[in-house]
Amino acid sequence: MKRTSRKRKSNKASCRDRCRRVKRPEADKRRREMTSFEAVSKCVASRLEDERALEKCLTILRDVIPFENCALFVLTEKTGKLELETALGFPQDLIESVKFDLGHGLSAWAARERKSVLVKELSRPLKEGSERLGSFLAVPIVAGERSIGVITMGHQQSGTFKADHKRILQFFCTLISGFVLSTIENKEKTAVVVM
Amino acid sequence: MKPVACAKSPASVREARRPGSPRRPAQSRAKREVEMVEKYIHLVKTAVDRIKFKLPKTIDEEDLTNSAVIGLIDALRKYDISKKTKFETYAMWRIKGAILDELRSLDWASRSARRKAREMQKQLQVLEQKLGRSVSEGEAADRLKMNSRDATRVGETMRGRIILSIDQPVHLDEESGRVELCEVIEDPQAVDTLEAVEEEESRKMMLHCINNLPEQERLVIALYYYEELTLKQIGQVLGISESRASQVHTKAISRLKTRVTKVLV
Repeated sequence: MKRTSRKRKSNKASCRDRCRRVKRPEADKRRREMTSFEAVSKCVASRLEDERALEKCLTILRDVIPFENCALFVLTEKTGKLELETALGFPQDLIESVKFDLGHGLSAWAARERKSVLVKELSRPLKEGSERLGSFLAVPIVAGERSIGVITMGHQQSGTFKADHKRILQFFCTLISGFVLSTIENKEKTAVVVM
Repeated sequence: MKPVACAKSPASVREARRPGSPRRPAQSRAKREVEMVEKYIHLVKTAVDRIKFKLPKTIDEEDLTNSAVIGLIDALRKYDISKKTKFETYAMWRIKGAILDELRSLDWASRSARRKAREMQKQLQVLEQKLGRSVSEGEAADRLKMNSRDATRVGETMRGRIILSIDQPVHLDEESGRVELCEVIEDPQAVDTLEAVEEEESRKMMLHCINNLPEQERLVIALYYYEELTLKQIGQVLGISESRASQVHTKAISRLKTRVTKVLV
């Protein structure tokens, strides 16, 4: 009897260990995500006048999404097109030569449709003058019912971006949407003053 | 000094100068030689025809014929009737010899290299039969106890490399005069301007046609052909099923065909 109960106990302990081993990386990841989001929120709140705040936010995002290049496009009211606001690395897009309402490329379509696009594996041939792109992610920045911008990111290695990364970027976009909106409004005000 | 017995051609035999008789003018001797060459020219043709089918196409038949004629002239001059050999038989050997000399002068590889290449070829066959698999040149060279430099040279000989001078004249142009090989060799990496312009134009035309398609079709075509996404991936991007993506693709293609035909006609 004693032997059996001891065996049961040891089984329970090993099971707990296994669960811990499996759950710990997941918990670490979540903790890292929370820390990053907190940092982004602080950055956005404290640097309302800083032009480089968005660039700083993208740098923080690098801790949780392993991108090689990332670009943030914002909608310009005057032209009704997306324009590059800030970028880390050389911005890449899919179907760059195809025209949509808000500009060229798949990011413009994603922004207009307010739809997140995740292409896990790309096997397109390497074009002259362009870098290899193996994985692509584009998430629109939405304020209320209006699309005000889009964030695109790319990586040479296929299969880099996963659904989890899409979820993180979507949350990130929600966090910074207010700041992006204020940036657009500030720009418009400046333009009116200059005129 | 002992006088050397002079080999005489058929013409010279018949018209041998008797001691004390006046020397024949050189002009008439040349004329006789031309007549004899014309008479035996069929030997030249036969010899060239026999050899040429064994040779690569890069060797010019005219060059061989010229060498054969030189061989014939040589035979006419050196023929000795006292040897009691038929002139045609003697001339044929001289003609063949002249052709082979010409071929050897064209060949960049030495006779010994050719011999080694033949030995290597033979060794390769023997080894392949013995081992029942394909054998590398290195293995055969080891068997023949050849050093690496020789083996490389023999390998090149076996692969039939022909070395040409880039400055060799290809033909004579009436306007520009001598045309050299370097002027007419095509550069496979060079961009054909006309082709590039045509390609750019057709690319622009296609892009224009694609940009005028309905949005969903435009997306499907662009993602399928530009980004090489599968229909399943396209379906995931657009939020539609794979079969729906396939339907959109088919429709877009038929629409594009009509538009491109309209533009071209």
